[in-house]
Amino acid sequence: MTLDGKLGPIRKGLLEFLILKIIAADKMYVADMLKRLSVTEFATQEGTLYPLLSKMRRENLVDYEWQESEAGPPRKYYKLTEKGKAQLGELNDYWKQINATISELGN
Amino acid sequence: MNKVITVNLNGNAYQLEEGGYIALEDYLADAEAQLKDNPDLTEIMADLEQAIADKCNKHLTPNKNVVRESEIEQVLTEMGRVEPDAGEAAGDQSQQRTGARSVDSGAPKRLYRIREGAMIAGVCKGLAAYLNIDVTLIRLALGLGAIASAGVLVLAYFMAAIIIPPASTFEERAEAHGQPFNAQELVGQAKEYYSTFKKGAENWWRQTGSRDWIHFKRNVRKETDSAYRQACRAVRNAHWSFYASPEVDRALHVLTIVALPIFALIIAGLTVIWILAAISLVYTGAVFGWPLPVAVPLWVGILMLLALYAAVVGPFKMAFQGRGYYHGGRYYGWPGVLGGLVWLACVTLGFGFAYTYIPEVRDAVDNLPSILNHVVSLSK
Repeated sequence: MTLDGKLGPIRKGLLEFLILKIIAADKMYVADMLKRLSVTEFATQEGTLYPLLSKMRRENLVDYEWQESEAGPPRKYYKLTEKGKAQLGELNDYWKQINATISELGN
Repeated sequence: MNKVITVNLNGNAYQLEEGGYIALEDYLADAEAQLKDNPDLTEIMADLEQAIADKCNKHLTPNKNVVRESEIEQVLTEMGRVEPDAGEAAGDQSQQRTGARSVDSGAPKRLYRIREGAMIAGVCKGLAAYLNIDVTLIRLALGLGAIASAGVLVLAYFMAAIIIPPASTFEERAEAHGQPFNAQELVGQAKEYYSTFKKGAENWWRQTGSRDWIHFKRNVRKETDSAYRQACRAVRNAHWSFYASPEVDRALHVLTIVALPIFALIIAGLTVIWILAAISLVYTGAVFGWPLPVAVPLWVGILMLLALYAAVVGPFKMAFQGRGYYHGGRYYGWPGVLGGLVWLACVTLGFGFAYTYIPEVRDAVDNLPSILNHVVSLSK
C-alpha cells in the first residue's frame, strides 16, 4: 500500500472534525468552507462535502439558514447545533489525547 | 460551430455546448446513482446543481452566454465525483437512471415530409406535425381541394413532395414535431425497444413452457441490461466521435466541399433537362419529339414528368442533403451556400444556352404568358 493510500482514510475520517471546527468559528457557506480547506492537506470538493454535510445535518450536528447573497440566489449558511458543539468538544479532547499518546511514544 | 443545449440548473437557464451537456448529464446521473439510498437525495442534487451553476457563472460574461464543453469539464473536475458518505455504502450502480432532467424544449419546428405511416410521400403527415393538426383532416381537405381545383392541388402536392425534404434522421423527425433531440432520447428509444423485445421473448417462453423459467428470466435480464448499456455507450461514442479527431474532421470537411458542387451540378443538369422537357411538352404536346399517347391529357403528362424527375433526382438530392447534414448540420455554412450558388449558376447558364440555341425554347419563353393562359384554360 502506498503512503497516500494509508493517509487517505485518515484525512477522510478527520474531515468531519475539521468541518465542525470551521463552522464553529463562524457560520459558513459551502464555497467558503472549501476555500478554507483548499490551502490545507484536507482540500476537498463539492462532490464530497455536500453528502457529508447532509449526513451531519441528519445527525443533528449542524443546521443551516438561508441568507440572501448580493449576487445570485440565496445561499445556505451552515452553523453548529448544541449537539454539534458538544461533539466538537469531545472530539477536541480526543484529538489532544491522541497527540499526547503519539508524542509519548517518541520518534 | 457547436450545438447549444439549454438546461435548467436549480431554477436558472444555462446554455451549454452539446458535449458539455452530455458530460454534465453523466455527472448528475452518476451523482444520483451514488446517492440513491440517501434520504436527502433531492436536496443534495439541488445543492450540486446550484454549485455547478455558480461555477458556470464564472465562465459567463455579458458578451459570452454559452458555457463551453472544456469549461464544463473543468467545472466538473472542480466539483469532484460525488461520494456517498461513510457508513452508507453505495449499492449496485450498474443501472443508470435516466430521470427526467428538465431540458428546455425550445427546439424550433421545421417542415419535413414524414414517411412513416404516409399514404403517398408524407407531405400531409409532415404538415400535420408542423401545424399540430390531425393528419386525417389535412388529407380530407387536400382531397376535397383537389376535386374543387380540378387537379391543381394534386400538382401542388407533388411539387411539395419534391421541395420539402424528408425527415430521415432521429434529429429531423424530432424537429418535424418540434421536440428537442438529445442522446438521452435515443437511449430511451433503445431501452424501450429492448423492453418490448424482452416481453415478447418472455411470452414466447411461457407459451412453450419450461422448468428453467427463472433461470431464463435472469438470463434475459442480464442480456437486455448489457444490450441497453451497449446502446448507451454507442450513443455516447457516436457523439464523441463527432468532436474527436481534427484530422478526420478536416478530411470530411474537404470531402464535403468537393462533393457538394458535384451533386449540385448533377441536380442542376437534371433540373434544366426537366424544365426543357416540360416546356416542349406544353408547347408541342411532345417530349423532345416523343408525343404523348392519345388518351393521356396534358396535365397527366406533366404529372408523369414530375414523378420521373422526382425519381431520378431524388437519390442525388438525398446525397446532397446528406452531405449537408453531416455532423448534425455543422456544414450548413458556406459549403451549402457554395452548392446553392453553383446550382443557380448552372440553371441560369443552361437557360441561357437553351434560349440561344433551341428555337422552341426561345419561342416558349417569349410566349410564356400565352402558355400560362393555355394551361389555365386546360385545367378549367
